Amino acid sequence: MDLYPFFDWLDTSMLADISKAHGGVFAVVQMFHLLGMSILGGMVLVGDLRLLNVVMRDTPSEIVIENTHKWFSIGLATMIISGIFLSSAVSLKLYYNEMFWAKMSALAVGIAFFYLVRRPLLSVPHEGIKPGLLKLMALTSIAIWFTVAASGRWIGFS
Amino acid sequence: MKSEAERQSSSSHKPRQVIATVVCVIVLASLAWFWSEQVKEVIEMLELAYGDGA
Amino acid sequence: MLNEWLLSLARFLDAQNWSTQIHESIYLYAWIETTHVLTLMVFLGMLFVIDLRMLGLAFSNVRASTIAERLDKPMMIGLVLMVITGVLLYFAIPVRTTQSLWFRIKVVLIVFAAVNAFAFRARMQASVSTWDTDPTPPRHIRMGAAASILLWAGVVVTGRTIAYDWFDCHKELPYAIYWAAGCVDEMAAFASE
Repeated sequence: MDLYPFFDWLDTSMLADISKAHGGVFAVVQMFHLLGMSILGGMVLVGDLRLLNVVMRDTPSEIVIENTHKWFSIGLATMIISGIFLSSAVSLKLYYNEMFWAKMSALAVGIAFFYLVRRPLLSVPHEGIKPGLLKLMALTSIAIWFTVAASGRWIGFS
Repeated sequence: MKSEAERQSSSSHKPRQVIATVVCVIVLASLAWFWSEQVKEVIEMLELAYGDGA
Repeated sequence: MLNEWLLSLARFLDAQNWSTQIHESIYLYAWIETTHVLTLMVFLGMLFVIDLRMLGLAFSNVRASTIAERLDKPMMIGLVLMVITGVLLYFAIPVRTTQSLWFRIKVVLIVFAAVNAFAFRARMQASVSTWDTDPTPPRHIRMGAAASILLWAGVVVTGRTIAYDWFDCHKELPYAIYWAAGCVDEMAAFASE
């Protein structure tokens, strides 16, 4: 599936008119992108560090995990919406950027892992889950989101 | 004493745990490969720039 | 006076070898900057969890004091990393950063955010026993948490805009901007005109 038409359309869209012409708007949207990243990262870290028994050990992990889900989704939605706007400024350049596609792949894996594996599995009492698997999932989740963020930053340098 | 329903849910939960474990291992292996490629590229670049005592 | 002093300090740092080395290295500057930005997930991430609890928007079935106390350490680890990498970034480009209007606003906002955090902590410690298990904390606590989020959002956006050259000293700008950005030479030229 070639997504070139989408990037070509984005390059000439109204979003691109704004993002290319107004550096101030771009910077403010980037702030939302980074705040979304912080919310998502905070929720992921609190949940995963709890599964690894690093933080909040006196609060049941079910309660910690359950509380992170809503704001994870809000952070993710903020990032995707702001991310589309940000990419409109350089969409054709991104299409040919390897790091961008690395980030998109990691993002797709992260979303699938979160909604299809981590959340359904952790919705039952955690004592029924092998402790080793809880820790393995926490490490996987941290590794995925670190990769998404790091490869995202690297787009700007590559 | 576990109720019948609870036992049911925990037994149907087993394959899910196996799948989750497999997914985690595959994802972690892919990420390890991705980062090792990045590190290799960086080392190559640094060797080009500073290597051979040039 | 202060501007002259800051500028001469920046010029002194700029003359150091390691400032140039960070700035001109292939990867070092980018790595430091990436670490600075990624650590937002640790520092601002933990701060958001705490502030959202104080706003009554998340973790409402967990004691507010539990959230604040248990997440304090990871948040501080994030803060320390951000300060270290931030100082290194400043050392890599000292003169331009010193004369950056955005950087100056950012530093002021960080000071405000720190003052707000200390005031918040004091108010919280004085009253938390009366509302610790309430899903929504009292109004003065919510105001403090909202101020914290807004101030840090301001820090993020001004941090980002340092990269833009809109108000760089070499541009033709009003005297007030030269003054606020500390463009010492440009101010002198303005006066002699």
